[in-house]
Amino acid sequence: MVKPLLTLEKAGQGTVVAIDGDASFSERLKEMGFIPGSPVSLLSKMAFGGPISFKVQNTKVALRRDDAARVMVSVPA
Amino acid sequence: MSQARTVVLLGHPNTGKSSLFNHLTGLSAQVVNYPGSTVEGKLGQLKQDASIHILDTPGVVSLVPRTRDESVAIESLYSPDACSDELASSPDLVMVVVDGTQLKRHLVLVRQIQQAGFPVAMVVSMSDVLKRQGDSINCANLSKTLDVPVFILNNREGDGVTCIVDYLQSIPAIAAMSVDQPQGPFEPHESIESSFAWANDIVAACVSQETVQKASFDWDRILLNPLGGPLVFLGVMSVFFWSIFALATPFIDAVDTGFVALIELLKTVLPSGWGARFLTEGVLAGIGAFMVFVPQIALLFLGLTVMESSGYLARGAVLVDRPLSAIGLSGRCFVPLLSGCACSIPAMMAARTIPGYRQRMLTLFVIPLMTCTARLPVYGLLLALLIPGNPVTQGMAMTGVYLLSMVLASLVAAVAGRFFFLEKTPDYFHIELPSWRRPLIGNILKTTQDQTVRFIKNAGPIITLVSIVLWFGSVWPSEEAPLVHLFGQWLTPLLEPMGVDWRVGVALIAAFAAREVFVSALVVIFAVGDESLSSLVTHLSSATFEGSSQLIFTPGSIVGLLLFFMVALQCMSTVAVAKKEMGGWQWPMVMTGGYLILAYSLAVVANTIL
Repeated sequence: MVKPLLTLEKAGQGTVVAIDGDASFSERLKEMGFIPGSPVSLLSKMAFGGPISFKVQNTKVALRRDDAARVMVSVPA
Repeated sequence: MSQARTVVLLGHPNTGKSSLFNHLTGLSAQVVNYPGSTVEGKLGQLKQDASIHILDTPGVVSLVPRTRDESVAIESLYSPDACSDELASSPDLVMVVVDGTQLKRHLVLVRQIQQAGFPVAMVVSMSDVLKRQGDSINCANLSKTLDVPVFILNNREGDGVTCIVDYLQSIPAIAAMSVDQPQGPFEPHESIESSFAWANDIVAACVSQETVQKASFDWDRILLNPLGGPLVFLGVMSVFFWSIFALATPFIDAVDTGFVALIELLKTVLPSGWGARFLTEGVLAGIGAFMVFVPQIALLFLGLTVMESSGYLARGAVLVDRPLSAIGLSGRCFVPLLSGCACSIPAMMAARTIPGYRQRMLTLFVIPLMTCTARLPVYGLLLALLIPGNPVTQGMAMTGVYLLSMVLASLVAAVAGRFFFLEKTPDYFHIELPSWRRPLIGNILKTTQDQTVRFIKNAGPIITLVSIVLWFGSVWPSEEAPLVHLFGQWLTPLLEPMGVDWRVGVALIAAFAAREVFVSALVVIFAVGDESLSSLVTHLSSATFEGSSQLIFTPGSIVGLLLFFMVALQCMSTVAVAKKEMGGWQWPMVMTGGYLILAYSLAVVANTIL
């Protein structure tokens, strides 16, 4: 099942499928490690709609929620 | 004397590039400006061989720039001579520092450098962290596969530096002889996905897991926890602020005493006359007024450097991103705003790291509203006048003043954001959270020293100059009726609605050199015998307007003065630095004028109501 990274659950692991948005946005995220095929897991969410921290390619990265909404990941059904 | 060679150090941020640079160049490094921008790099010579010039660049993630700073750094790669005449027109070697724990991502940069045609060598840093994780890198294999010399470095101990030094001494000066110098800009030879796939294969071949390590405790489970994170953050910030104020006090007193003693000494030694007075009361007092700050600024830099090298600042930025985005800023504005609580000048320089133009300008705009340490003696005096004899309430009021200034800063940011800097650059915030590391003391001390010296060079001359001008204005044409008195009296119609007289006006003018001068100027102009705070408070609380029994320092006028100091941009050094950072006089003038008008209005309103 493919869904936005924003909705990834705590225990879940997803695999990056695609990044919506313009070229410069997707290039930037890819450089951080969000390459299609990479596993990504959720670390923590900040309160009050704050940024979400993920682990991808052995790196920890924090993204704003609307950016996380534009990264599509596939999770086991 | 061997031939001059140019080495450019390149790499992602947080790879330990700077500590390698420090190991290689020791104390010889100087800061260089990238032409046409405020971006800075460091230039030094190899300790063992001064003919090898090493340029340290700001962090670069890929040769395709994403931010203005990155594009400037990449330009310097293609033309190092634009930064300094000591450098060649093209690097003789590009030394890429990669984080051993992030090998896959960082190898992409190495590949790009190779594809661009530069001579490359690679340094794998963080080898101690690698070992802790139980991984090992087969450097020989890596070197053979990439066809590039590979060195492994343990940043903490400096193991591996000797091999690098030997290698650097052996590189030929090829750039000077080559006709085929790489030309920018870089065109990617393949997609990012392909680069990553290539890196993946290399890592699979060269990195192996030696021992299965027991997973060490992940501090982020607390520090990025939605509840634990903010709590720890408040704790860390409290300690940080406490150290800047409490720890600094003995040093500040020492500097103060030192200068007073020096001035007294010179007064007895030198022949009396205008020359001596200019030197002691003008120049030395001016320098002293500035040097008194330096301990606090140094502690600020020390605290920030510790937080940055440990990796905590990135977590802090994530924690404050949500509140800051509500006023149009982002987590990256955290450090500049925090620095503003010590002094606007380093804060404005720190704002260079903010990628978006709009966010950077808004941050610069709002930094002068953060309660800087120069205001504290003023607040201390005013609160003692407002709430006499009750130090606990005064302390609480001081905290209230801090919070109020942050509220004001938020309001101004939100309002200014509606009218100014409306260039539509995308407001993004994403940040890499570096792995936790114990900071290296030597590095921290060196960075703190470098930043403090830069602060002294930037702020010192102007504060001293303005002090000297004001001193002159206070003794010419005569000491009974000097220029500043005339100016103060001329301002009386403006000062009346604020509830103060021309003498306070003179002190306000004097505060334009450095805000805390307000206090010492009041001592002089109200002819208070001794400089202790308590006698100043006693004297001022009964001071009246000339020829009447009306008190000057009433609750209304005191609150008015508090608000005035909170908002008015009185620091000329800040204006000068703002000009450099904002690219011209236009915005600093808008800020100075705007804040002055706002400060004055608030003071008048307060005096009228209360």
